[in-house]
Amino acid sequence: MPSRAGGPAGSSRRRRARTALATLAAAVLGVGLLAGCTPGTPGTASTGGPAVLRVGISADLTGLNPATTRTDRPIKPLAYESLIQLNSAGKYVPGLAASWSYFDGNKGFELKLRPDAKFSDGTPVDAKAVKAWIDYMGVAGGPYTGRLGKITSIEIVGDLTVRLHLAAPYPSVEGILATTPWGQIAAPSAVASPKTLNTETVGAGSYKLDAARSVSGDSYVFMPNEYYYDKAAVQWSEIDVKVISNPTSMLQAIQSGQLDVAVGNPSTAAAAKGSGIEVVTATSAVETLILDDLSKGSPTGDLRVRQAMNYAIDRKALAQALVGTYGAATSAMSPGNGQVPAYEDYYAFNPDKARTLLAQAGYGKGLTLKMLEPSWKSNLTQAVASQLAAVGITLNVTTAATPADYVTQIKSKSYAIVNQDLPTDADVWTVWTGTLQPKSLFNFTNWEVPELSSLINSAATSGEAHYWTDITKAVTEKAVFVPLYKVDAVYFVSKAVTGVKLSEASGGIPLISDWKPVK
Amino acid sequence: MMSALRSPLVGLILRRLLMAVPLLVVVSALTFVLVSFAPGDPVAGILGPNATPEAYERMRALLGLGQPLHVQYWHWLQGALHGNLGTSLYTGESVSKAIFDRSSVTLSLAVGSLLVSVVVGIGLGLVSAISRGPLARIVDVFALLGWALPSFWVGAMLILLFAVNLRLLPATGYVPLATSSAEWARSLVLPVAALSLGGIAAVTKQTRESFLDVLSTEYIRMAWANGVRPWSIYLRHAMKNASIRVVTILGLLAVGIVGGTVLVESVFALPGLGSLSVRASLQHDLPVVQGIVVLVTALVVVVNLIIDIAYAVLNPRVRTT
Repeated sequence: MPSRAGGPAGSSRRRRARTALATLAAAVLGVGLLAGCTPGTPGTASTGGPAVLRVGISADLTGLNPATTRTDRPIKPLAYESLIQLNSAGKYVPGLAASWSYFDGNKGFELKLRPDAKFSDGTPVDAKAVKAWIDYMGVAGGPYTGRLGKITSIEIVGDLTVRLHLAAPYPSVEGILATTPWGQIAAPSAVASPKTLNTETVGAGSYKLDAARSVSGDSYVFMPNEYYYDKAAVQWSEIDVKVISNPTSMLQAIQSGQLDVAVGNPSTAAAAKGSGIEVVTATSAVETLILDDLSKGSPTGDLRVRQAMNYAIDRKALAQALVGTYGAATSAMSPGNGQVPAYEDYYAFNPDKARTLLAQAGYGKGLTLKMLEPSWKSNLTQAVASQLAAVGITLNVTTAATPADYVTQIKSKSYAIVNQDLPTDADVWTVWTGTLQPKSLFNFTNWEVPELSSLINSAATSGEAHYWTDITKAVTEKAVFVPLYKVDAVYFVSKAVTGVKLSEASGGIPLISDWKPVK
Repeated sequence: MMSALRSPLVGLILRRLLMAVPLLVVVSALTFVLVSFAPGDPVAGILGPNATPEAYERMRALLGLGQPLHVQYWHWLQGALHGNLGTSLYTGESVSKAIFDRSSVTLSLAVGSLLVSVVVGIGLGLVSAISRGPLARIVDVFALLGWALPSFWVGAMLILLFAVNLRLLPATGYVPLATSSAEWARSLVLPVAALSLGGIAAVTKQTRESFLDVLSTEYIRMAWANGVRPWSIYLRHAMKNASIRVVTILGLLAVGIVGGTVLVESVFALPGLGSLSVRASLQHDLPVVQGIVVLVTALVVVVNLIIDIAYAVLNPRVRTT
């Protein structure tokens, strides 16, 4: 019987087999290396002529039509410059509107448009275009419909002046125009045919989307808008935006030179710094337990219970464990125009005081509260639950599996506590209308705190700056929320780009128009 | 022509294609029901928590979500039969376009991985079967590692080595073939390597076992005795019979590779169907999920049909049954 592989003939065959295998392996390796050495390596910005900016974002755009989707800052404003902009320092600055003012006790808002702004289809940004957009926003049925309150009329005064007349005082119109799609106006031709807004951009921003080279959910290519009013501000020949949801992949993309700026993550920031990448951070939100029911008779309707919950939380330990150096403990909300740094330590960790307050409120034997947690924050919930349990408050937790499930469950109005992060670019009025105002989603029992209501009513008509900090103080003193810690936005910046700036007041969101290539 | 139609192979093909139709209907209906009953309301996900009740109702009506489930499914089925898979609830984009834009990525990745798995796996299996001693052991260990190591981890390590440290290949992204064939190939080297490792292991093991069995048969011993050259024995006489068992697992391998693209596409940020299906599932974007499920089901049917045909070609006894 011939041996399959034994004997002198077999050893000769083995030698030939090994030689063939080695040759094959060398050929495969050679082809691979040759492919790797092909010129035109991705990951390097073009060195001749204007630069291409490559940006990595971790969450996809929610869609292209501003009226039916979210603001998607800082990307969507590339194509849809707002009437008023929130700059990287958190200040409201002119965008398509050159100036603005309130009148009639904050029931009126006047915008004066700049004369040279044009949409990417070449049509002018005028008062008629603004009116058409605001009319469309009111009926589009998107996430922000209804956020501007009831608009009784829109008055056109000449070509470049628009007046909004509101049914009730609204002292934060500039905030709404700067941070929501109400200000991201599209050309009247697109408003007349809204389906086009799902597949292309027709705004007045410095860039416009190249739909043919973009893949929804993956990559978006922006080219300069030839009609933009400030050509000198257009720093890039092209902006390529890539969606990379995996934080490690994002880090590796910028480490390998494929990206110039990337939305980072605290878990990968140390590795980024270690590889010579600049890490830019700023507070973007305050992780908060929102108490949905402050009505009389409910446990959380008692100020002592709410204050006990605040005293029971060791915020420093929580922040250290969950966000490390990319956040900080805080007892106070941090809205863009109402920050009170002195109140950040208002409720110093004191479990004994928490127990005393609970006992005074009649809950010396403990109480149980229903809480809704998003599944991606289960670590936070476990930590909070154990700290509250130590003072006698038991959390009966329901987990929402997905963002859609989370919102659906909130709307069920079944929970005393909901975990939500409050962005720091939202001003006090936005926080009020979104989470505190009777009939808002998080105030389904229409509770009112008299001191707070009084301040709100005064702030609504006067808009004086001190009211915003007064409201923050009142919210903290009355323990309306249980703020936990601030969370930082993290950006990774390569050596090819300069000007990436963030601030707490801007919600940790930069303005891409600030970014310039390093010459 | 009539005799061709009476051929068992043609009969097999026609039967499989006919069975595919009710299969697609059942799978799409099941998917529709399962996604509809998953927790969460897609409109809540689209609009977020702060939209007005009127906005919710308007969006539900606009998206046709207020109708009974069977009515929604019937509308979808009617559209699908005319080639219209609907529009994404989230982006308003045509589902057909979204799938078409991304299918070339997943196909490139899956077909590339399958080819690499087959070529490398058969080669290594053959070498392992012929050799004894250290080389066979090395191949065995490699096969074990290939099974054990998860593709997403392998992918991350490959990126670290070849993209971050050596800067030879891109870390993420996909370049369409029409843009640049060289860059297209470069963008696929690492993802295909990561995804094919498990397949190589499976094919290697199967090939080795199959070859060992065939090489111990009577007719092969006779060929040795007659002085037939070794490579002629391996490639001409043994390969065809040994391939039968290998072809059998290719169908499972192909389906496994398609499923594996989800993780690999995430690691390499590839705009394929895997990443689209994950996003659509989390968003309860029913039309997109339906479209992908129908496409993948059709692909599985086609792949299994090809495997059956290949099996019949290799094994004449099957053609007569």
